[in-house]
Amino acid sequence: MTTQLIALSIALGVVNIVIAGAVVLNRLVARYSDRRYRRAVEQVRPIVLSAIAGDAVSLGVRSRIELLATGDLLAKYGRNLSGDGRVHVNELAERSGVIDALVRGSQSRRSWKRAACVYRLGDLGRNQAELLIVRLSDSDRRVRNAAARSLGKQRCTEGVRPIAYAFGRGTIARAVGAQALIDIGPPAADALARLLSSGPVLVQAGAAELLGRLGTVSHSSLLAEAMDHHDPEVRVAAVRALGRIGARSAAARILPVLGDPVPFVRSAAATALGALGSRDAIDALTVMAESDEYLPARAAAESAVLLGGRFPDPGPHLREAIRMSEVTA
Amino acid sequence: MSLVEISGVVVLVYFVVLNLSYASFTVVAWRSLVAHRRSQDSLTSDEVFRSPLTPPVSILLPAFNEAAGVVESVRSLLQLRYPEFEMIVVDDGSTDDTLKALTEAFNLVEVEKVTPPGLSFAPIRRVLVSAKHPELSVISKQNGGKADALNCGLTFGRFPYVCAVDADAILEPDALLRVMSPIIDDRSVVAAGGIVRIANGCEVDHGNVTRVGLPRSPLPTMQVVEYLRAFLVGRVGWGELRALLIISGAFGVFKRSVVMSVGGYSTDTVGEDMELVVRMHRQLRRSGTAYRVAFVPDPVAWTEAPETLAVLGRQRRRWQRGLMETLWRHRGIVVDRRQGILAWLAVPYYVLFEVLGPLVELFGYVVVPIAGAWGVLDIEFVIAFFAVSVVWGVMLSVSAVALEELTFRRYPLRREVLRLAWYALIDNFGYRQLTTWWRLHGIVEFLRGRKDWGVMPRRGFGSREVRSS
Repeated sequence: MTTQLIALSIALGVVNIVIAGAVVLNRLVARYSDRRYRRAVEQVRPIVLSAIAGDAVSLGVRSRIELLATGDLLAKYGRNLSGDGRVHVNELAERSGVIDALVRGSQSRRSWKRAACVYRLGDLGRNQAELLIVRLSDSDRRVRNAAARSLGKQRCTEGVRPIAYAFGRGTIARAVGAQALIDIGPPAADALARLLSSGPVLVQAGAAELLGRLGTVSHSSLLAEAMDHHDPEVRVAAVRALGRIGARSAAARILPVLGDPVPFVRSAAATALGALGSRDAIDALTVMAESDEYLPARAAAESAVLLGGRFPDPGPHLREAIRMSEVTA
Repeated sequence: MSLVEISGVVVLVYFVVLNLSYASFTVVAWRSLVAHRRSQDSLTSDEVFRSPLTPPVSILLPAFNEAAGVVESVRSLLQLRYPEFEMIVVDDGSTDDTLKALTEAFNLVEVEKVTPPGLSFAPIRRVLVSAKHPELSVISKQNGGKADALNCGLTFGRFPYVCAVDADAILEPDALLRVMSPIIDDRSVVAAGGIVRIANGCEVDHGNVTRVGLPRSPLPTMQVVEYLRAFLVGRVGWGELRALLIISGAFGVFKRSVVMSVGGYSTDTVGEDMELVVRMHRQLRRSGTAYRVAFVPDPVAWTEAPETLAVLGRQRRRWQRGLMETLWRHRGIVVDRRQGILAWLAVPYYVLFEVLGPLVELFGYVVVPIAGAWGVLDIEFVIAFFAVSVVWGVMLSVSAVALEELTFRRYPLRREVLRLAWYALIDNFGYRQLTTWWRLHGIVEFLRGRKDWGVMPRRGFGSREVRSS
């Protein structure tokens, strides 16, 4: 037994030396790779910048590291450019083979690689709606998120419905799905309006919430109908959306929601009325601020003060709201 | 079989199981960290930052006699890159100039606030809001302890998620966005913790760590290695197993409604961070709710580590007491089938290796020499066994340093990595025995029913200050 233990300790000692060696080696390799990469970036950057300026340039035959640097630079510029600059970035990305490499990578067996390539496709190249929509059903969540993000970045209107469904089903991060739809812009609003009328409850709530960001006054009546929905999440989302869209005519429809049985729906209604500048609601809000439970009372007081109400004998919530408005003015 | 032989077998089995567990955690953590690093290329943090659906967060900062560093901490938190947050500093009856320093730095003005219904806490003296930063409010209350202050902040928080941060912690600008990422991605995540690193030796400027470095003195450097092992191996490993029992009080995010529903932080334990997480696990499992407690290895909170043996000893005794208080309070978990992995793995592991570990180690240090003196021990075997245990311990520490180096590589200088490796090598000689001794003290204090926190003096992060002794 003693002999085996001695052998084990020697073996573990060797493992320690290997691990420590790996640490040192990794640092050396990383330094070397970083230096090579930086050098490649410096070599490629002028060509990329010329291409963005519209010059007819060619990358020529390049090493793997230079191709990687080109992809990184193009993605960086592509993310922040629009108009001609973006078109030129796309052309160079196509010509240099970066897009083909990303498309191949998006079908890799390794999920992290698929996700990275799908993510980058959003910043570069031609419309890849078909590929990205397929990746929206990928088995890996990171890939699905990246696909939604890229569909948004490429403003693919074909992606609205699949993103909205993935958003509603929770197969992509809500924040990412929402931002993708916002990036697609107004074309997403009508698809969302359809989902609000017919999708499952989670989808309806999400659709209402996003309509508040993308919708116009023309969507007010649909959102007003949603305020009668049996699910409080949908009601709250609809009330908030109406407040954000700023349809003054909606105030009359929101006023009765101050009597909703669910406190957070009442709070949202009070806040929306404040946001809509509906002075007709001041009296109702004041009553609510004095008599409701904490959360809706606080929201009502804040809105009543925001709307410029006069309170001869304010209660604690109103006093708090008045003082806060003075301090933060 | 003699008593000595039986003891020998028990210790041997204990040793093998413990070290195999550590090694398994290292492998699990390795896989997880590599996957995490690879996913950085597809992170959608910009979209999350811009998205209107990224949930707002209430940051809670309990402060007791933190005049030395609270302003820098608040300043660092106000610079966080996150779409919407409020910050509530709870001055827990400080007897120094904490409130004065905050008032002067952030132009605080007294306001009248209605106390929301919810948790109970010590009476409030004043509520102040910043005229410069509307998202900052300070609640001055009578002293009730850290948990009491957190309960006060929780009650006043307006947003669906709360982030508890220690007053001596400095968060990196993206830390909140990153720690919130599992929550944003999966609504069943009820809590998420991030990695905490030691700021001693780093350069801090206006609430930001501007240069990462190692402390010059050995004691905090040993703690750097220890933290790497605890966070990069332990927490990542438990997180992967969905049995993470601790989210550091220095930096963690919680779903407010869940924390409120389980009654907030417990005020009668010194391990309130672990106790809360265990209570959340227990109640959510009891109710059959699908949930997850996540650990995110890259958001970084920097914290000041004790630089003297006296203060470090006090901290470790308190940690051991907190651990034991929590495990004792929730001992029912092990006989409750609904608790799943908590019942059959996590809690037994903590009891066997974290609570009983120091006792077994002490047993070894005391019994082996006695048995050797009596001549009932094979000295060669003991020496070989000791060699294996030391080399294995070194391997675990070196692996933690390797994980750091191969994934995050936060220490830019090569000589610092070599120093880390060196400390990983020597922390088994002296430092480990010291921590065992403090943990034993902690066990004694727990058995005696000690409840106080003890004093933790802070030096604070001065601007442009290279912190190390």
